[in-house]
Amino acid sequence: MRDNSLPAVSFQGVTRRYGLVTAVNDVSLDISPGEFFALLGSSGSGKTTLLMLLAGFDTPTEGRVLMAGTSVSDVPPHRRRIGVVFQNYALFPHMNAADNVAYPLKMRGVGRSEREARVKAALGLVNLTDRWASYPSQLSGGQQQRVALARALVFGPDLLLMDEPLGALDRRLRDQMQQELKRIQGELGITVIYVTHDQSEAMAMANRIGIMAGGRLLQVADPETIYAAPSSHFVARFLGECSILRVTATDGGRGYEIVGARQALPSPEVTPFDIVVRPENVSVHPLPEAASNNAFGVPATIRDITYLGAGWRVTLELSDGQSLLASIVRGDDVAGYLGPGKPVVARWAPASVAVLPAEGSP
Amino acid sequence: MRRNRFIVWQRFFLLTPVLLLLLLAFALPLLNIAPEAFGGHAAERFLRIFASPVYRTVIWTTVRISLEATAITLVVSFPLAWLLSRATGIKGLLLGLLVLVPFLTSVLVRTFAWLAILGQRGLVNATLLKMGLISEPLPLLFSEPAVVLALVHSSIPMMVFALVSVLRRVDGRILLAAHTLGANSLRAWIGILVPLAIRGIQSGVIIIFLFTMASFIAPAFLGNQRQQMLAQVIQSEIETGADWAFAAALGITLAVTATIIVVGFSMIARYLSRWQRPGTLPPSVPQQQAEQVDTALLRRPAAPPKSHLRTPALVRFGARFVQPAYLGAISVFILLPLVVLIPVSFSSADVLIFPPPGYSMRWFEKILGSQEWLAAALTSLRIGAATCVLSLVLAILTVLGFGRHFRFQGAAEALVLSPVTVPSVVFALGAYLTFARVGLVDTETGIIIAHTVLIFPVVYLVASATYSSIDPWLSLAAASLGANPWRIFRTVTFPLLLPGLAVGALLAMLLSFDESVASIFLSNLSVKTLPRKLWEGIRFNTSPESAAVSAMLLGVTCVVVIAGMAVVLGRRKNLPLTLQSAPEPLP
Repeated sequence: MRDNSLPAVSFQGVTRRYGLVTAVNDVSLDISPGEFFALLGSSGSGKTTLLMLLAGFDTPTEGRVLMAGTSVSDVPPHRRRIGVVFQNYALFPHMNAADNVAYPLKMRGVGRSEREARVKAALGLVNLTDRWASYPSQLSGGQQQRVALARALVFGPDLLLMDEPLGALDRRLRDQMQQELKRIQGELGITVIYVTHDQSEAMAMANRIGIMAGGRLLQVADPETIYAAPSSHFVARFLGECSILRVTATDGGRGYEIVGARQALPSPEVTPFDIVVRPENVSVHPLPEAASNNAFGVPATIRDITYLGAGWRVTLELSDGQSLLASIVRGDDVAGYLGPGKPVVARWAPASVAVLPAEGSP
Repeated sequence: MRRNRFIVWQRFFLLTPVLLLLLLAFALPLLNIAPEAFGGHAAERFLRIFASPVYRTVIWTTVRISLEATAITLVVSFPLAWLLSRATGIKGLLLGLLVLVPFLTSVLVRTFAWLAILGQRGLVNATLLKMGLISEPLPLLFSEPAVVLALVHSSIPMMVFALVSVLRRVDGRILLAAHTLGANSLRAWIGILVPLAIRGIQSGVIIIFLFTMASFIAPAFLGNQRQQMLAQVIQSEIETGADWAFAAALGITLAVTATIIVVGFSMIARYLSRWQRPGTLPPSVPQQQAEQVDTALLRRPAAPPKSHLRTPALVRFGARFVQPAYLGAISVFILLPLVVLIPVSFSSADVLIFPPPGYSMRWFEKILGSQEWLAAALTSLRIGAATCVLSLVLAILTVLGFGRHFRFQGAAEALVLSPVTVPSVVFALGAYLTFARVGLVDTETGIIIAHTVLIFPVVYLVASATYSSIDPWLSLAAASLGANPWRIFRTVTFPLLLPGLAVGALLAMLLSFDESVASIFLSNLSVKTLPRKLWEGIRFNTSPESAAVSAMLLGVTCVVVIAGMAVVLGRRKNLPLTLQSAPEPLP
C-alpha cells in the first residue's frame, strides 16, 4: 500500500501569501514514511499555516504539496486521508467518545461490524475502552486528548498531524502523553507531523526537527545535531540556553582567540565566525590554578548566581564585556570560590563548540 | 447581617417600579382576557369557534402559515447567521447592517413594500412581462405564498440574532475537524453545526412562531381575504367594536394554540439537546490488563469517503460560488422591499405601479403639506420620546436592582422579558380590554404605557449586557478611594453604562416609532400615530402617498442606525476593552 521509497510528504517550494504578509516562505521539505517529524517555532512562525496547507484548508500561492509522490492540490480536505489532532481537540460535544471515534468511519460508509471493531481497537490503543460512553464534557483534558487521537487514527490515515496537542495539559500529564504518543506511533508505524512551540517536547519525541521562523524553514536535522550544531543565531537561541560569543579567528579559521585565550578547532571554518557554547559544557575554576597555566582558560568575573536545586547557573562577565552562562552541577567542589564579583577562569572543550557565521556577515 | 438587610431593601426599592408596571400594565391586561372570554354564554362562544368550519379553518390556516414561515425562515437564515458569526471587519459590519436595518424598519413598511413588488403592475410582473416570459400578469398577491414571503422577510433579522448568539460560541475548528475526518461540507453542517446550534434554533423558532401566529398586518395586506388568520380576525373584531367577548375568546384560542405548539417545540429541542445534560458518569471499571489491541486493523486504511459526483475538481470549482451566490440572493431578498420604496414614492402616478411612469415630488409635497400626517408624526414622536425615557429609567433601575449577585437572576430576568414572549396581538387585545375600562384607549398615555411594556425589556437587555461588561473591581476600587454608593454610581458606573444606554435609547425611540400592533389596537380617532395612519392609508387605498411615508420612515431608521453605530464605534475607539472582554468576576 505505502510505497516506502517515496517521501510520505513533500513540500516543494511552498509559499503562502496573504496580501502583503508572507506566512510561509519557500519551504521545501521531505518527510519519510514512519518518521516522527516535529515542526518547531514560536507563534506566528508559519508552522500552523504549513499544517493547514497540508490538511487542505488552504492552497499554496506558489509551489506544491505531494503525498506519496502525488500532488494533493485537487484533493479536498475530507478525502486526504490525514488524521488531524487539533490544539483544543475539537471533539464533537454532542457525541460520546465512541460516537466521536466512529464519526470518520460513518463518513466513509464503513459497515457496522468493522466499525465497532475499529472503534474498540482505537479506544484500546489509547487505553480508554472503559470511558466509551462518556461525553467530552465528562472527560478530563488528558482523556479528551486520547479520544481526539483515537478519532484521528481509527480510519487508518497515511499521516497524522498534531497541532500543539499537549499545550493544554499540565506538566506531569504532558510527560505521560509524550511517552504514550511515542508508543502508539511505534505500534502503528504511522508518519507523524507534530507542530509545537515547546523545544523539549520536540527533542523528546521527534526523529527530526524542523525549525521555523518568519515563514521560513531555518534548519532541519535530528535533535542531537540541531542542538549541538545550530546553523544560525536564531536556532541556537531558540533551542535551550546558550552563550553566543564574538571571537577573533586565528590561523585562517583553524582556531580562535577570545580575551587572550586561544583554542584550536577540530576543523577549519569560514571566517568571520561566532561561537556557541552551551552552559553545561562550561566549567568554572578558581583563578590561581597553577597546574594548568598553559591550557585554554578564559578569565571572567562572576556576576550572578542562581540556585536551581540540581545545581547553580552562573552568569559570568568576560573582560571584554561579553557574558557567558555556565551551569554547575551540585557535587562539584565549588563552595569556596563561587560568589558574586569573584574572579574565575571558564573552560570548555573544543569539541563542544559550535561555530556560526558571524551575525551581519553574508 | 445589617448590611444584607440594607441590600435587600435597596433592591426592593429599585425593583418596585418595574414590578408595578409588569403587574398593572402587563399581567393584569392578560388576566383580564379570561373573565371577558369566559363570562356569560362562554360555552356558546367557544362552540362557535370550534364547531364552525369557518373558524376551524382560520385556526388551521394560522398554524399552517406560521409553521411554513418559521421553517423557511430557519433554513434561509441559518447560513447568514453562521457567516455573520464568523465575519470580522468591514464584512461583519455590512452583514450586521443587512440584518439590523430591516429589523429596525416598521413591519408595516416592510409588508407594504411587497404590494409594490408582487402587485398586478408590480416589480415582478413588470419584469416578467418585459422579458416576454408571461403575457398576462400573474396573480401573485392575495395568496398564501405572498403572506409567507412577507412573514419570512419580517422574521429573518430576529432569527439571525437568535442564531448568531449561539453560533458565535461554536469553535470554528470543529468544522475543520469534521472535514479532516471525511465529512464534506453538507454533512459537516447538518451533522455538527446544526446540533451545536440547537439552543439558538430553539429560541429562534419559538420567537418567530409566536411572531407569525400573532401577525395580522401581512395577511390583511397580502392575504386572500377568504383565508384569514386568527390575529386578523381578532383585530377586525376590535376595530369594528363588534363583540369584545368573542375577540377575547379568540385571543384565548390563539394563546392556547401557540402555547401547545411552543411546548411541543421545546420538548423536541430538549430531546435533541439531551447531550448538554449528560447524566451521571457510567461506572468506570478500572482497567485490568491492557487488552490486546488489533493494531493490524488500524494500520489498514478504511475505505475513502464516497463521492457521489465523479468530478470533484468541478464540484470544488462550483462550491466556490455557493457562498457568494447565497449572499447575493439573500441580500437582494432582504433589501429589495426597502429599496423598491424609493422609486415608488417619487412616482407621478396615482396608483402603485412599478416602474413608475414618471417621477415627481407630488407625494412628498402632499404629506408634508398635510395637517393629518404632520400631526400623526408629532404624536408618534411624543409617544416615542416618553417611551424612551420611561424604558431607560426602568432598565437602569432593573439592572442596578438585580446587581451582580442575585440568587433569582434567571427567574427575575424571565419575568422582565416576559412581555416579549407573549404574542403581541394577545397583549394588545388584553391592553385594549383593560384600558377601555379606565378610559385609556385612544389616549397617548395608554399607548405610552403599552409601548413601555413592550420595549423596556429590549432596553434592559442592552443595558444589562453593558453592565456585565463593566469590571466589578472598579466599584470596589472607587469605594476604597472614598466614594459612597451614590457617587460610585454617578462617577464610575453611570459613565461606563452610558454607551449602552445611548444605544438602548435610540432603539427604544425607534421601536416605539415603528410599533404597529399596540398602536393599531389602542388608537382610534383622537390619537393617531404614524403607523396607525399608515395602516388606514394602506387599507383604504394603496397610493404612492403611503410609499412616500414609508420611505421617510425608512430614512429615519437609517439615520438612527448610523447615529447608533457612531456611538458604538466612537466609544470602542476610546475604550477598546469595554465591549470586548468579559471582566473577571468577583469572588
